[in-house]
Amino acid sequence: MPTKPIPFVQLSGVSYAYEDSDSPTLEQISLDVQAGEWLTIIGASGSGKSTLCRIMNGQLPRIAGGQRKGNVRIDDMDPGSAEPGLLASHMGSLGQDPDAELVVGTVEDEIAFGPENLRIPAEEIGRRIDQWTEALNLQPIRHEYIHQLSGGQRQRTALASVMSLQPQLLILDEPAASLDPAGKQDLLHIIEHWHRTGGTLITASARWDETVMKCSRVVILTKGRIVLEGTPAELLLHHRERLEQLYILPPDINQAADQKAAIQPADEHANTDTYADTYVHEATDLSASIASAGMQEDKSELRRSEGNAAVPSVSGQPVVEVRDLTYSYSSALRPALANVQFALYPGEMVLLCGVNGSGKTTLTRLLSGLLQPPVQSIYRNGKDTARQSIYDRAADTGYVFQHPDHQWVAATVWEECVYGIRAHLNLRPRDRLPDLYEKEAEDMLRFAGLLERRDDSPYSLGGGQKRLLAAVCQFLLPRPLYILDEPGSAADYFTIDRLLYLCRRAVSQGAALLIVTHEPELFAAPEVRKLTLEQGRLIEDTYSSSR
Amino acid sequence: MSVTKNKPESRGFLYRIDPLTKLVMLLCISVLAVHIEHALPQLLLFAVVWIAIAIGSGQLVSGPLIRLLAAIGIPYFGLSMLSVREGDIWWQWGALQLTSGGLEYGAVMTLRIFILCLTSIALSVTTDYRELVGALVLKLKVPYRFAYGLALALTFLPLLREEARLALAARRLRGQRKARGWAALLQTKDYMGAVFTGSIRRIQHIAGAMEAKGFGAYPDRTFYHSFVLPSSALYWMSGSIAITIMLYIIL
Repeated sequence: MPTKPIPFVQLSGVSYAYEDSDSPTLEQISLDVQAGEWLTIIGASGSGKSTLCRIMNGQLPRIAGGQRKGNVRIDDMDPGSAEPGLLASHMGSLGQDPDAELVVGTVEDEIAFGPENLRIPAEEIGRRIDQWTEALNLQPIRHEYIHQLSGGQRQRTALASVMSLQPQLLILDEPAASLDPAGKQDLLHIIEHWHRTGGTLITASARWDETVMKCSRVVILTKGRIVLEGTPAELLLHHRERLEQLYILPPDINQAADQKAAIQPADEHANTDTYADTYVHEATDLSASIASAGMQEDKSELRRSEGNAAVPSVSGQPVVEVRDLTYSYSSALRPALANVQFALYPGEMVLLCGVNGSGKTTLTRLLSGLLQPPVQSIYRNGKDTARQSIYDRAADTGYVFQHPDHQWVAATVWEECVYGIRAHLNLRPRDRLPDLYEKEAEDMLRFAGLLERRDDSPYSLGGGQKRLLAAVCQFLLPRPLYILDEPGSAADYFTIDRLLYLCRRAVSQGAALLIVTHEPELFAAPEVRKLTLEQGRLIEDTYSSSR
Repeated sequence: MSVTKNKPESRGFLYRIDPLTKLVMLLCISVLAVHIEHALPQLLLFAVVWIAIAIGSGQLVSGPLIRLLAAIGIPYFGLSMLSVREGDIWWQWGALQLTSGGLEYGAVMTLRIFILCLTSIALSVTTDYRELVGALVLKLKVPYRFAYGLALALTFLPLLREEARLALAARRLRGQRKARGWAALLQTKDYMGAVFTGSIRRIQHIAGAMEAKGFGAYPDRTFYHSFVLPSSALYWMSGSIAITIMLYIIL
């Protein structure tokens, strides 16, 4: 009788609760992964997939504390209590935030750091550095310091530093979140190739993407429990509707995203299709009472936008005008931006695309006032922004950071949500928020599915939840210009739909939106304007029909 | 084995000096600063150190640094000055006395703190942590865990600066304006809290990342970058020590 092979990864009855949390994030997870298998864990934001990855890589409860129940075995050890050297020689893992994976130094140092700790000879380390800098296109930045790199470059560096450990098991949580399409393809080829050489691979993602079809088995996680399991083909064949309900697949994978405006609420069992409409209509009515900062308030336009996503016509004076903008960082050899020229008009949603390191984030930071623009390069309402204070520039701009954690200024989700309103109303710490605004903030949090977490720390939210909170905080106050830096990165379809809804509402009210994205298809609309940067130069400024 | 390649040749000489020589120089200056007990030579030493650092790093004479030194130095100077009652009495108000000896003592102590602060900051800013770790472990045989601890402590200052920049940017973009009076104090308290929390989170991340990559797993580790002590280093070190001994005897 053939004996059943011993799983390389084995979880039985695993539950986990974070410190100071009343409810467990994971409940009764039992899972086997055979050596050489590729398992994909998919779950919407807050489902517990990152927690599960961190249980398997030993970070929980070792570093962040909390309470774990049940048994976890990787090969022949418990990652929660294994010696670091033993763990590092068996597995490598990579989380959603590359900054949390990097130590300090240059790209080369990062790649060398793990093998050095495992006492690999210098010659062999050099060979591995050459191998992974070449495979991940890091050669040109091999000697750069990591804090000087773009988000995508840091993500590739973090991956190279893990691959150089030559692990038997790889646990990758959204490894391609900040990568451009070419980078994603490269990454997919690399991990596929690595897997074919016999490695055991566990990947986690918030939505069903092209990588899922390559894996051997999929596990669907919801509210900390495994609800579906099978091969990708089986799940698609038998459980498509369920996957759509869980926001892992879009409502109809072949339909354009703009037809998904009427979406389900955060609770998968609740309410009606018009949930989003209800809350945002209320919020819209209320927001009209806030200082409008010169924006158009046209309800009929709003309804049309919600109904069939018609983008209002673009006209009038530009909200922002960029004239021949060239910008260099003090230590850089070449300018981050060169001769960039364009204008954004009221009621326009513009996508800003380009490969990692092309200057997208630099441009948005200059537009928002985070970086001081050169004189006579960026004009708002005909005035040179170089001569304005950062407070004046910020007052007119809603800016959603690439990494939401960089945006937090308060201790709880609720305080974070109302921070902008309180600052706008110039309220002192002990002043009560007027009822009108309190209700609006509550409605927005409910709309984002975050009302129940109002007393939690923003840092404790899932990746998609953080992105939604970051956006909600900005959209609560009407402004002429909103800039969103990769808002859909590693987000589930619930988050994307909510973001889309907020964006279209702002556009319909006359705001201009600039969205940095590597996935323009997520923000598709009948008429989309797309700007593309390449090595700091604007190489494309086109309107294109998405359908 | 490779030698560190990204050392910026175009920057000031302090960036080009190896960390061991810099440590010896820092020690020599500290010995002199602690030894000197008169205001004029201490002022001269301070001026020499300041000029050398300004030329050698090209970036340390900055507004924030001067404000920091003033924030530490002025109260310290006042307290030191009033705590010593020697020599001529220049001014008296109740129990408070300003004497010539007190003034000299205050100046010496304050300048000493300035010198120690400046040299430590210069070492932190101009030293590549990899070279420092390599020098300590490969040349001085310091345990690598301790050497990394020291090196990461040196990087804490730039880390704090980066966190402060991020926290300030987030607040400005969220509409917070500069407050006045008591509200300004509350605002500063919140701001400093956010900077501190952010820094601690970053350090936790770094610690987690280091552990995940096997840091501390074995009593020793290999180094991809070799540390080569330049032949000129011995001359610089012995020269520094000789000058220090000479000045120690003279002063």
